Amino acid sequence: MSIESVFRTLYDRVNMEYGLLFLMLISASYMIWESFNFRIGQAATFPRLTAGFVVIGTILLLLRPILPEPIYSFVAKDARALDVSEDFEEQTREEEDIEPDEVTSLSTVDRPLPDAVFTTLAAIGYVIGGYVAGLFIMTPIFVAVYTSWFRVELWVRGVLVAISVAIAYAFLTVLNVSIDEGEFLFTGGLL
Amino acid sequence: MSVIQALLEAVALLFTWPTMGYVVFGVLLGIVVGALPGVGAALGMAIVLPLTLPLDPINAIIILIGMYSGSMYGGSISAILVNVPGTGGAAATTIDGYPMAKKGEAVQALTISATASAIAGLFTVTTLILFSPVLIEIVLAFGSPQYFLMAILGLSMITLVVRGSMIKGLTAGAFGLMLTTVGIAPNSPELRYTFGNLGLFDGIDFIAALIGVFAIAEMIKLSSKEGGIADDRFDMSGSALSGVKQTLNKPVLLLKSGYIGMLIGAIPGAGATVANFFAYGEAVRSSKDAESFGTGDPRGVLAAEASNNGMIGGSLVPTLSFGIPGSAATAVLLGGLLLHGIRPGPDLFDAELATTYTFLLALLIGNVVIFTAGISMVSRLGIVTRINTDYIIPIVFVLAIIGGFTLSNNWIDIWTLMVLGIVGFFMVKYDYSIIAFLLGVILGPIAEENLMRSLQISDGSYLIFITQPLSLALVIITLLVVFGPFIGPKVKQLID
Repeated sequence: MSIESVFRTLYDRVNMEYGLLFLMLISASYMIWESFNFRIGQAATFPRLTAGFVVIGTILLLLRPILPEPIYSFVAKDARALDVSEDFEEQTREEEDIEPDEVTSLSTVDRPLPDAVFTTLAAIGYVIGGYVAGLFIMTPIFVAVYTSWFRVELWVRGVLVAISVAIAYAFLTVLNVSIDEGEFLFTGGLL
Repeated sequence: MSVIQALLEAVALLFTWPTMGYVVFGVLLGIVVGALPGVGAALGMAIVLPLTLPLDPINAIIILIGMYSGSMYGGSISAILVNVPGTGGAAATTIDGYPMAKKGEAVQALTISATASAIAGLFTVTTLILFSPVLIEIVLAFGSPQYFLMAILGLSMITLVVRGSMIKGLTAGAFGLMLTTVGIAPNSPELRYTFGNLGLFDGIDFIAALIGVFAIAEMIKLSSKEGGIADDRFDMSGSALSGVKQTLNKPVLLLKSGYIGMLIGAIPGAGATVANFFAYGEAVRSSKDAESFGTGDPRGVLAAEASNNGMIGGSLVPTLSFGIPGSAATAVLLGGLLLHGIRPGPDLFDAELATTYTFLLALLIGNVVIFTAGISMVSRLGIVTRINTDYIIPIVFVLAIIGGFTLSNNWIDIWTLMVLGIVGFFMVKYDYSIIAFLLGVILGPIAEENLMRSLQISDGSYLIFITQPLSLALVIITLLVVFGPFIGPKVKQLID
């Protein structure tokens, strides 16, 4: 089974909206539970109110398919007061949304991973690498890897890597941000 | 401080070096980010936000306001030249702007855009300054209970104007509010949800959340689209002078569209996209030859572009007075205000009135810069739209992640940025309002502080939110906003 078909199968079987709702529900439930351990009762008021609302909202959204009609309309239907024409709706949807297939479609540059998945993984790798060895050294590596994956022309890759090093160096020297220090490597600073 | 005294002080503050330089820099930068499809005002401003840290607060906000204003015009460049609006606020501009470019009138269309943007911006901001004494009276009537209720009303209104179900919007807003409860509680030394981690004692940084949701989520989204932007290339033909004349020959349409933009901009969450299409729709409706719209009618470009720059002044009203952003870009602007210790509310209309006027005057000057830059660089503006997104994405990531680290040299901010970036990506995908979510993150501390203060005043009684007439009115409006769209049709059915 190819990587593409694994992603396709995962996409077809897992609705990430439920993942998002469960993330909200679990974190809100934890916050309510934890608020009972606060020593100062007053500090629990706002967390309970907001987390309580999140719990109610997520449960309603999770149970959408089985809700009776008046409640279903309230939960599921679009309630916009300021609406625009259908044409406009379609146009902005095209511009702003990711169609479901886009995420799992074949890569636009003929690679085994969908573009959005690679971008997310590359960004996570950049941050983890930055944590370990410092963002300064990881910056050109990230840009080189990203542009290579997307088959950017070689000379443009060189220019972008140079720009990224210049940006990182400017942050390091002008804003005095210690991005040349990693938590495990170069702990005393690279420069 | 009197209004005149504040205005004079604002003029003195603005017309100094390097402040004026920052106005010009902000507007030009805004034009560039606005012209880059997929970047736009909010993302561009979010990335620049950490870079403003070394600047003094007024100059920092002036750059952001300049970017906001410039990006509205910048958005029309790609809308006209490549049929892809750089910002949502230029979406209606494509309808007539692109056909004009195809007919060999690209320069004319861009000039109409620059002139309409500048004039509408000038008139609406001047109107705002003239009406500010009335606004001041209203803002000063608000106390802690009303500010808390305004935050809730603002969140509710945003869910009315964004796509998707209201429960999704309200849940996203509440989720944002909930996340702000991490860290030390206001008015008490209780540590909440920190897991003993020192980096969480100050809570989740809202700037990291802004960068995550706007930059990371947007770049993940953009990466799944084809890299090239501008496949069509037009000869930059047409007459700039003719474009200016055509704009000036339609003063009624110009001002009407600008003021429609201003009024819609003042509605929290409505933003430039809605203003753009409302003004365009009104131009079509009031025209005697409506069928010419969509085929390259200059009036279409004029109405759309006048409205999005007119919207800016309007969107600053709820942002500066109540801390409720009128659009995604003003959410970032609000983040900038808070980052630099400028708190929206009565102070900005009382002791800090000169600061408020400085921002408004900077907007006025920004419109002159838009006109000058738009006319003088009209034949070269298309270059920006030819930049491949594959070149932009890695650089935006670098700016966003290193910029996020700059906030407090704290890895918690970077993890916040990444996690909320990925969460934001899925929120956009499934129609959960990220503006409501960010509004929750930004307003959380203010809302909680005002809630706690109100409860202290009333000895813990929630009746304080309905016993004062202004509070009661706000509660009723909030209930109407939330339940109106569902109850309204049923009531109408019963009456019929």
